[in-house]
Amino acid sequence: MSNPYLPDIATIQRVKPETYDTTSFTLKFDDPGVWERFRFRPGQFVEISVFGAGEAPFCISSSAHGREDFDITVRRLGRVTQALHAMGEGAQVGVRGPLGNSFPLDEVAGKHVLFVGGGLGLAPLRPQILEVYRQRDKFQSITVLYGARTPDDLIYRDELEQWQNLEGMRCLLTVDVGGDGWTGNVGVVGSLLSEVKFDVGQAVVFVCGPPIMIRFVVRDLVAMGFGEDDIISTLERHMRCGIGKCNHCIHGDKYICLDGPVFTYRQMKAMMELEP
Amino acid sequence: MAEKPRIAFFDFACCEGCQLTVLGLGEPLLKLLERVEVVTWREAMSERSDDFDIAFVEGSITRDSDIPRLRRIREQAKVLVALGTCATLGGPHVSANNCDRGELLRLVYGGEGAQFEAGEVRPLSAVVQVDAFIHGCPINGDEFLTVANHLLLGKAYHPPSRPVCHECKLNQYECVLDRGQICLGPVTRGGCDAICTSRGSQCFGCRGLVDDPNLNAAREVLAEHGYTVSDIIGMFDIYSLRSPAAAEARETARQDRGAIEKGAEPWRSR
Amino acid sequence: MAPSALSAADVRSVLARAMESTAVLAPVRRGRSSFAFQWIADPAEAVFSYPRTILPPKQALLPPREDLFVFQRAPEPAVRPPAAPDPITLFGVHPCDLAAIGQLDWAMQERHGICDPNYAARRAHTTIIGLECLPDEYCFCPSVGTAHTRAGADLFLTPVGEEFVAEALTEKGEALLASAGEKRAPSAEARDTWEHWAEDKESRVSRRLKAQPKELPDLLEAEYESEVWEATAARCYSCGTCTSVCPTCFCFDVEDVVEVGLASGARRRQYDSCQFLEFASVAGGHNFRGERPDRVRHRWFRKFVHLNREYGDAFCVGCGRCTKFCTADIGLVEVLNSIVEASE
Repeated sequence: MSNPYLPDIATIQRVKPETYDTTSFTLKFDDPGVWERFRFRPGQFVEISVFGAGEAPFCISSSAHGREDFDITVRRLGRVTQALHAMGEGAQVGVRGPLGNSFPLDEVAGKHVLFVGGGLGLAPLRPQILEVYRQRDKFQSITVLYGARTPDDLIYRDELEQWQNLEGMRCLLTVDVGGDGWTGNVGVVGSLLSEVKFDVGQAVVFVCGPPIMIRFVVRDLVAMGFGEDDIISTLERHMRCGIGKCNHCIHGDKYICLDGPVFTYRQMKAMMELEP
Repeated sequence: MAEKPRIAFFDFACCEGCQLTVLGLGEPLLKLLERVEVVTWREAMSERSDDFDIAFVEGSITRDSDIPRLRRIREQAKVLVALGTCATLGGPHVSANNCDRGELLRLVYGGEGAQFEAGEVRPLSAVVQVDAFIHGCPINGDEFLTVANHLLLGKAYHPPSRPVCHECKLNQYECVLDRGQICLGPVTRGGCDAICTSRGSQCFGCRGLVDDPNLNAAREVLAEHGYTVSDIIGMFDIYSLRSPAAAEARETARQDRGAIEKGAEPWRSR
Repeated sequence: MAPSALSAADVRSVLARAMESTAVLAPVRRGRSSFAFQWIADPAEAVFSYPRTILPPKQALLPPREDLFVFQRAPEPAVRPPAAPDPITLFGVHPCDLAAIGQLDWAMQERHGICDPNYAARRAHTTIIGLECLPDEYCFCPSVGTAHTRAGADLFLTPVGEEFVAEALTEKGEALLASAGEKRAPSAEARDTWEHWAEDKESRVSRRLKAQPKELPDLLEAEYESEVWEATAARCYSCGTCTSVCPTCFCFDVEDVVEVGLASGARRRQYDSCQFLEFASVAGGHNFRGERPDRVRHRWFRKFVHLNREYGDAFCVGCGRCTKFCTADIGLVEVLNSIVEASE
């Protein structure tokens, strides 16, 4: 029987600063055999150990396809994230996972797919965006709306540029507060929703960002006519154990770590102590 | 690590019992000393240096002349740790703030009193930014080691906000109220491993109140156990738990996570 | 298997036998009027009659603090699972606590199809000697159907006068019983008391839940906004006593503990409590149950709504610990009954 608390050791392959407080890390398992059973799906998360600092959950932010390593995008916020930020290429961490459920893919085939991301909320959406794009023949259209507080808070800048020029994907950016050199949209990400022209009855939307942003965006999406089952988000809690034992991430009868982190708006509405 | 962090101990108004607790740690202290270099510690050595990275400061601020000294320590230290309840919350002598200072000096020193400087008793955080708080009167030696460890790892230390009752129960000590003694365990911050209640004593609240103390419940429950208002106030006033200064210090300790949260292993910048 | 009779001395020799090959956790006196489970060094330390211990026998299977694994930080990270635990014997476990171990077995080993390896390793090497009891004013085992639990015990003892009626329920129990020497049948009188124990026990219980456990999920959900939570919270210290002493609570927190030399350490878990302020707080500062009434309600909903539905029974065994040891005299049954009454 394998011990679900024991992490596998992975080495940091690449450290890529995204913003002044957010960095992406590419991790690869030291034992290649681990990758064989790791095989994650977009939306899943991992528990990362910095031995001595502790363990914290992070969503996987890289493509689930065609790679033998994976990325996490980390904002410096607490003990573990701070310790991670002090680590460089070649340093080793512990990894448990993949954990949790994942975004629906085949279930939403044939629809218009909309992504709405705010700030670091683009990170969990990224694997799904890349997968939907890879299988773009199966979908009617792909739209990515992404906003951040300031231009300096936008993550994946290089990739966003690429996405804006891709055929088969529409990618619009906005910032709450513009600045020198910013010629794009200014306004909250919800303001980009007016750009959505497709039939929302034929669409699914994936939303992720700070709780306040999710609340406003979801309200707008409902007003636009999106069904409660077609609004899909991912929740972040401090999952300590990640396997439904420690009980830190429960809302009512739901465990964010097992039943989530991906939930539909209908599910979120029914969850105790949650005001989406 | 390129260089061992340089440690200094300082004290203001206190009994120096917290430093004594550190000195009494024995083997673990010797192990810790392999990782750090102690450059100033009046209680333990005669050498001294003004070049240090981490300052452990015991005692409360009671005189105007304390302030520039504390500020100098703050300026030099990359990390400043408040050591013990006098430093973190003001300590038992905060109760002096309720008395007329002149009368108090006469009472304690008689006719000689006037020559002493004695102002308002304040915790360190009322004067400078504090990066880590080690509560306790005296401190718990194990917690000191934990904090030292956190500092060496560049990890922020948050004193537990769970009450003494929790630790008392985990140790399976008989409830002090059931033993017929008044006790502040339910509202007092733990981290002491309930050492007082383990030895037949009660909890006097030396580590200050938890982050969300239910003081109405405390009044009600203690009254139901037959304690009078003056019994209850007497207990709360030993460590001035009702004082605005203590409440403010508690709030500062809760919110101000200081330099450690802002960057890992701060002394490495040298 | 026919019951047999044991003297108190026989029971102590059973304990001595158990101590030859296992550590033995048994109820002992603590303070003026309290009892605690403790690892004993001498069979004479164990008491045979006690109302309830401060911590339940859970402490042997899910200790207040334990290492999930040990790790090395330098020269490069490596992890090692904890050493295999030594075999243990739990002596003097009351029927409610036996039922609680059954619930913990489910929560830690079966629930969600995920097994907690530390718990399972301890549980696999555990022998349990159950002990019958009579209720006091805090007990409400009949209301949650645990008054007569035998499941989980290897050997079960009922104190009858100066003697014990012993039932071996497993092969391990048989072997323990055999260590007391030649078997003898209980006297007709002892047998009679033993046979009527259950009714006698039920009749002595004064604390009663005014609803069946299976009715509670709907009843409580209808009272989600009840003022009972606010009123209870006004008295509650959020001290976590109720959850620490609960035999079925299993929440834990995890942290890394590093030795002074910084080269190695352990990932340690310790009891946490949903009643603590910071339990549902997340990085960045938001707290999903920052208000005390929300935390209070959460506890009752966990035990009597969500886990109740999932497990098929209240996640409470009626031991009375949370009420007896509550530092603010909050009664679990009283809160439930006021909800039941409010819904009538």
